[in-house]
Amino acid sequence: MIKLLLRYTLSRLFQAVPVMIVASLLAFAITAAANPEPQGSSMAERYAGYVFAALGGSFGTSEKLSASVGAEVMQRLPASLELAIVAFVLSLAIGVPAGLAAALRGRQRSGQAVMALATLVSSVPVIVSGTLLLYILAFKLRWFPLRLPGTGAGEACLFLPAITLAAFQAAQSMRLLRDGIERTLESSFIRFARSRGLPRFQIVRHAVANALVPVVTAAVSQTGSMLALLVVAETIFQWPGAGAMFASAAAAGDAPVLAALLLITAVVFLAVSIVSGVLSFALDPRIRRAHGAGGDMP
Amino acid sequence: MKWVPAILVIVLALAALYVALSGISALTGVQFFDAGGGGIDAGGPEDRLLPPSFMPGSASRFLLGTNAESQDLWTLIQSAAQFSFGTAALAILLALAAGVPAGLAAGFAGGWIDRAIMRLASWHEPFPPLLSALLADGAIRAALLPADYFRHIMLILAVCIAFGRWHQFARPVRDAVSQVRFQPYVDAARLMALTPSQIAMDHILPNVLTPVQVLLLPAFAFAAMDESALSFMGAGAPAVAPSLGSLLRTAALQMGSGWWLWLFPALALTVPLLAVNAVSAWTQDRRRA
Repeated sequence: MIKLLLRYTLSRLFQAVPVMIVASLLAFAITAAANPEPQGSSMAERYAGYVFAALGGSFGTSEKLSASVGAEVMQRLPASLELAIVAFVLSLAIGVPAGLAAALRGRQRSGQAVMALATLVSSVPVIVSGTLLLYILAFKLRWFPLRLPGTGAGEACLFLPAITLAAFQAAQSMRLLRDGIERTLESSFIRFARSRGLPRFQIVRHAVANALVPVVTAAVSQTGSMLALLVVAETIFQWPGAGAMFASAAAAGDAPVLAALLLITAVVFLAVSIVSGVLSFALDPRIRRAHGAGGDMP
Repeated sequence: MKWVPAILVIVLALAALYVALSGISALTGVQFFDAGGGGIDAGGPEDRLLPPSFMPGSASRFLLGTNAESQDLWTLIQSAAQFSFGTAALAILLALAAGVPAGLAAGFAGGWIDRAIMRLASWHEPFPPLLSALLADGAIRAALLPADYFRHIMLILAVCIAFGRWHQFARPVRDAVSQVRFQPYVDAARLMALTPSQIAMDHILPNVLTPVQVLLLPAFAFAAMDESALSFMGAGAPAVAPSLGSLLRTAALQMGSGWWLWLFPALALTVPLLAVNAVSAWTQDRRRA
């Protein structure tokens, strides 16, 4: 079992090599296009130099930030991680009860209202809802410290970007949960449980347990959309994370920072996909069989 | 309460018309809204930050008020909407032009061509489209002189947004093609000695159009959101030729100088997107029925 797992992990790592080669070529192309003077060395030499420096954690210096790119990104990553985790927890805290309400009270006013709200939240652009929250809660009501976009002055506040991100994610997860519960409630084992005369709360418990699995799977696969929202939300609320750095580097055409962020995001996505692949390989015998590993079944 | 859906339908239909006309104006140069040639009206220095003319006590001659540069918000929003929705429409055309042939080639050729194209797509798919566009935009901005960059800003933004979304068309097209490729009627066409291109155009392409049609409207709405988000972050349109995103950015930067600076661009962006989403949901319901 351990040997199989190790072999699977190694094969996934091996598959990641061409992705990283393409990503490093793109990253090098970004820096080379912005700074075309060859300085007596060939493109291949410059590429090799870039890759070896990047492997050592050095991505050059940014003239616009007048700082080492690697150090700057590393300094900002924890703030982004903090925001992402808080937003993720908040989104489940909002999305799960809302999904339950929508599924179990679907024909009543409250359930309909929850659904309408979710539709509204997921169709309004984040730059509109985010600036509205900033205006009402921070500027008018002064409930939260105000940090105007583009200035960077004032105290950064975690709650506003977190709730903006969480609302968007919650709208997705509540819809998945509602669909899951409704589908489970129609399935035959629930009909059986109902005909046996089980009380309603036990039936609901079965349905919810079954519907939570796709919600958790989807939450993991939504890392990508979460990351895009993170960049926008950090910019709106001036959260000092790597996402806001990404946006301002693009706005300034800061090639070394963009190249570094491309490589780092590629590594993050590969790591998430490999870890989730290995986890499901370890947990799910069906996936093991699909990889020709035999498994525990006869 | 009965009249609420009717009013909603009318508002959404008008908004959808507004999006379509804005997009057409931006792509063809034909103006629909403004007889004066589509320019942005501006008053003198005394007209700075005037509230909308329908507000009680407002002496302004500008319907939606003016901004800090004394520009008329009504014409400013029209040109911004043309930029935003025109860029989104162009981006979708470019994404179609890249994604549909790629999907057709992959599905039709099979073998290593299929594997190569779909491997590229599967590498690109986890990467969110907005970040792809942001990255491409930043790289182009770093490589070009600012004057060259801003001269072609609309095309550059559309290319960047299309780059983030080409695979959203390539994969469904490829899947549709590989589903019908071995159907008996395609074999029959082959036995009738039709050329591969005839088979592709007459027997395979029609099956591909349905998934593409379903995707078009949501993809347009997402592309418009991408454009406004890029411009909001300062990575897209310049302040002088604004998009709805950069108008919202200016409103956020000058928070407190006037609610109308935020409200009207926000409505001009949000209501059309709601309309597009409603139309797309409605057509999908009709298709299912």
